[in-house]
Amino acid sequence: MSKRILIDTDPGIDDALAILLALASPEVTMEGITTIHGNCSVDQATINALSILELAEAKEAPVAMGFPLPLVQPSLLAAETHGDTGLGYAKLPEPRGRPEVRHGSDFLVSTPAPDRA
Amino acid sequence: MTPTRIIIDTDPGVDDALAVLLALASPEIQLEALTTTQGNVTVEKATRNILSVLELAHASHIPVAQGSMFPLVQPLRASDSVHGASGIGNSKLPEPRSKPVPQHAVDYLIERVLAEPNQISIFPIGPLTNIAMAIRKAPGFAKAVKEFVIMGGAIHEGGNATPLAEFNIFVDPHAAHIVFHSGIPITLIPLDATHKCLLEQEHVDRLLKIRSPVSRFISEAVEVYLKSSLERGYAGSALHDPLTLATIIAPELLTLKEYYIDVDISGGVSMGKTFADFYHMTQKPANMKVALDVHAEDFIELFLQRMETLSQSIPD
Repeated sequence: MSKRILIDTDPGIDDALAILLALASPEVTMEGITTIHGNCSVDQATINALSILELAEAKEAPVAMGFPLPLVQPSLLAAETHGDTGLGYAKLPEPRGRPEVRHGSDFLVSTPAPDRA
Repeated sequence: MTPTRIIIDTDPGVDDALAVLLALASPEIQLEALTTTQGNVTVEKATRNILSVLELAHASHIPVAQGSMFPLVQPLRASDSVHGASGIGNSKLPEPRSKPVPQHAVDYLIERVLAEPNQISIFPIGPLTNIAMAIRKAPGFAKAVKEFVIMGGAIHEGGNATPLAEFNIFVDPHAAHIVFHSGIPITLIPLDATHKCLLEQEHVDRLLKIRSPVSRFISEAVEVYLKSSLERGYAGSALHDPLTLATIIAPELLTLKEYYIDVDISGGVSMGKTFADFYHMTQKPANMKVALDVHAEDFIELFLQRMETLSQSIPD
């Protein structure tokens, strides 16, 4: 039986590879992605997550956007490692999909979503 | 004059309960809602207490939203020795019949503030956990709050939670750090001012001349609080939280100055200590107004008059 997982991520090159690996693995059912600031801004992370899912034709997986800043520390992004978009030199098209209306933290708390169950 | 619209974020708490009663007794204030947090007591007790106080004052129409169960980083604390095991001293209020709204306080605050930007002032009189979470969760929240009036901190004064730190800030210093650096207009009411506003036994006796469940509640609520204050060498119980409302009902009683004020979150003996940059040593612009002094006798008299009027309006 495949394991049901959510990925909370700031894609990010290796994050993108992790999402692709999850999608390519029959042992895993990826039920959604929540995004967070880190390698890039949370807005960029959300765009990247949606683009990766569209690339892999996995648009049914929901994406919910989370927190834009750390709790206490100042924002620290890693453009020198992951490039300006967070995905190195990769050029993915703008995603057509949209994130969930709900905040990432609410999505995590309430999954599976009543409106998707 | 249009009353000032406020939401009180609170962890009642004896003086929290008195602040809510003062808000209800003040025509200058329109109390729109209450949100609860852990602090003096657990958040469940805080919610129960505030619902009971609202019923006592015939104000159950005011919505209450329950909030954060834990500080952001620090362990949970509660201070039964000051506020009694229930949180409001020896008072025996009946179990409330009303219920909180079915929404987390953080989401409730975000929704109310974003629905009417720059209309609602927030009075956090407990630890700042809910407010910090709202700031982080909804990036537009900070700009849409009209003002914060915070009971917290100790500038020249020593602390009441540690030798250096005031209780509300010490319970969740990381949350205070987020709020202090949010860019929202802040007025801080620290121990420097509140420790001058002391409710003494003779004041309680004066209120008890009016036969009302409100005056009896105040007497029973402050009994433990008064005892612990006397043990600490004070002549009475400090009206910490009610003093925040002086910014609306009697601003002339407060001496406000603008400073850059920050909180220590480095984790040593000064964890949670608030400090003002009096001599511009940090080169940072002022981020809040702070009340370092108050006309205490006038404030106590105003508080007693308002409590007398409220008691008279709710007789036995």
